[in-house]
Amino acid sequence: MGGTRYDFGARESRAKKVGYASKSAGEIFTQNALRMAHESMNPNGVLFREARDSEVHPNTVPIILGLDVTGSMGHIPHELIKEGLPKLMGGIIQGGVPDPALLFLGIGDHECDRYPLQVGQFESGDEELDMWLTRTYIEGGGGGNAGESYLLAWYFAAFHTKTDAFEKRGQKGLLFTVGDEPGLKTLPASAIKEIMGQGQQTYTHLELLAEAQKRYDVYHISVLHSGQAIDADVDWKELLGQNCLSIHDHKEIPNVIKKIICDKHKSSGLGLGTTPLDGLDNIEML
Amino acid sequence: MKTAQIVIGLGFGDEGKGITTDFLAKQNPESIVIRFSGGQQAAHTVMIGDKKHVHSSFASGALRGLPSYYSEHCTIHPVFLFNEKIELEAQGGNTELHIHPLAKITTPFDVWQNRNNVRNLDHGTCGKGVGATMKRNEGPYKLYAVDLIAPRQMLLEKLEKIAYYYGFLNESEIDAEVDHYLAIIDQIKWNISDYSFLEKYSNFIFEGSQGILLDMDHGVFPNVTYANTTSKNAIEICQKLQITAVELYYVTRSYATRHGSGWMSNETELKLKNNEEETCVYNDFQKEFRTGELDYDLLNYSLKLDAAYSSKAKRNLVVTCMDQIEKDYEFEKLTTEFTEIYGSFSPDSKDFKQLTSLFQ
Repeated sequence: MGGTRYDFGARESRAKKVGYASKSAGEIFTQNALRMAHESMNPNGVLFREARDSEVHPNTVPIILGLDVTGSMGHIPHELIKEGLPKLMGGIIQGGVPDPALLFLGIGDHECDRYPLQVGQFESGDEELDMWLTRTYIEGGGGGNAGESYLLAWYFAAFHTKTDAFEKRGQKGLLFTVGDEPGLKTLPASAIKEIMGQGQQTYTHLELLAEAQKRYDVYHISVLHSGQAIDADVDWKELLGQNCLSIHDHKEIPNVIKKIICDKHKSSGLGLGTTPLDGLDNIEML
Repeated sequence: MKTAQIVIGLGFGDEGKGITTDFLAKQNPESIVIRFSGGQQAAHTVMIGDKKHVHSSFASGALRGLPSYYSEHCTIHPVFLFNEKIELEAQGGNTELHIHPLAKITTPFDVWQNRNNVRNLDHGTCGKGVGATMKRNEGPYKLYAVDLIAPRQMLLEKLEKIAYYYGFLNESEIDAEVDHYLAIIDQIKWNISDYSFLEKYSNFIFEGSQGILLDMDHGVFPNVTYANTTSKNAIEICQKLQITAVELYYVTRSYATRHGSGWMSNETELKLKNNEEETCVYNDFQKEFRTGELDYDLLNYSLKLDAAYSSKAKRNLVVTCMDQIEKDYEFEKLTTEFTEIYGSFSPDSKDFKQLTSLFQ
């Protein structure tokens, strides 16, 4: 996956044609009407999602974006498809990281939801990214339990992804979860078996976080749009320290992610990527 | 010569396997009744005069006085079993129960999982832990009937691992249930017996669970049960016991039913009478009891399918609840050749009538 470029012109005209700006979430996220996840995003039986280098993208930077698709957070994917995604990809590429490979995960609640985890593929092209994002089923579940399954993103990143960035260059990827609730603290083997098709070990969130951190810098974006979210933010700060990024306006998500990635690129000195051989000509600056 | 009768539901369960088993038990009082699929989620009702019992952890010959055997394909929940034993004793039923060493044991953790997992609820669970037990036993956290009589410390170790599998890490919310579970295990005298125990019998009644259309391999996934509900398991046991004279009793109600979610054909609300003894009523897990017109094509499908597992057996048809609805039957549409066709006209098997001549 990921042999295509993010073409802003093509994206813009496609978005106009499809009507992303004006359509409702129900019209854009077509799985919602079917009330089920798309089979291609069902993690059951998935061994690995891979972020591999290609001729077009010789220095892939793997980025996992775990989107909370439960009740109170379902509007965020909608905002991303309207404006956020091109802003995010544009910001990253203009910030000096030309080869981002972005993987969407749909995160629900493994105690209450039918589809607590949905997985796309690592992609770099505009069309592919739009496809995975709009294929995500915004289940709108969640339930009245103690939180959401953000730890599923850590589990999947730790055990079911492979990246050239790490294998060839020893570079960690970036993993972001976005949410407004505390994270659930236990991932039972029975839930993993249910979701992935097999699972023998029960994990705590701390174990999974440590596993994910071996190959990813792990961040959580706390969207402070409710009292509950502000309470949850305290725990997230305690858990992740400065890697918990708190925002009041969800429209800030692309900026926050872009800044983290580009700062990391600058501070590493090594560079997370290189400017493509044919320059930046086909990238429309926003 | 050893003989066997196998009772199979042709639909989605609730066909009348209990009453049919009782009908056969009455004719063969020296038999043992063998359960070969499912477990404590069965609710097989038998009425004899003014006595009534819903069989779940005991086979449906128990009220009439026949012993029960649960094969390795079944699940057992010790607490459900114990509670049912008390009910049966009060009615003067036979509580002799033998369990294959490899029957799967349901724990409080499985029931908790079954009742709390929405996916299970969607798929039509009964909330008795059967599906979770079967699923858990696919992986490394198994628990068998023979473990119930293993040294206590070993059983505790296994239970602890099962708690871990379900993510119970030092939570106390389920402790009281587990203590009760262990106390009940101590109070039951377990007969853990492999198939050699059955050799002393000459007639066997095999009591199916649920219906062919809920079979894990043949139903419409995911609204299926975690078992083979065809005659497959029963025929295999017959082969092990070298029983060659096998008769099948295929059971359907005089109308179609489904208790739980999922597809059914011809669904419609029917005007039923004489159904005061109905076991299937609204419950939190399966919701409303659904009904429909009899679908002869679907019956032919079930019969054709089951014959693939039992090609050499003689076949009979039992139509239950014929007193509950008034209509004309078209059993001549069924392509299977039946030796006998029976109808039942009350919840008591004494009102079985032979109708063979009416349809052939």
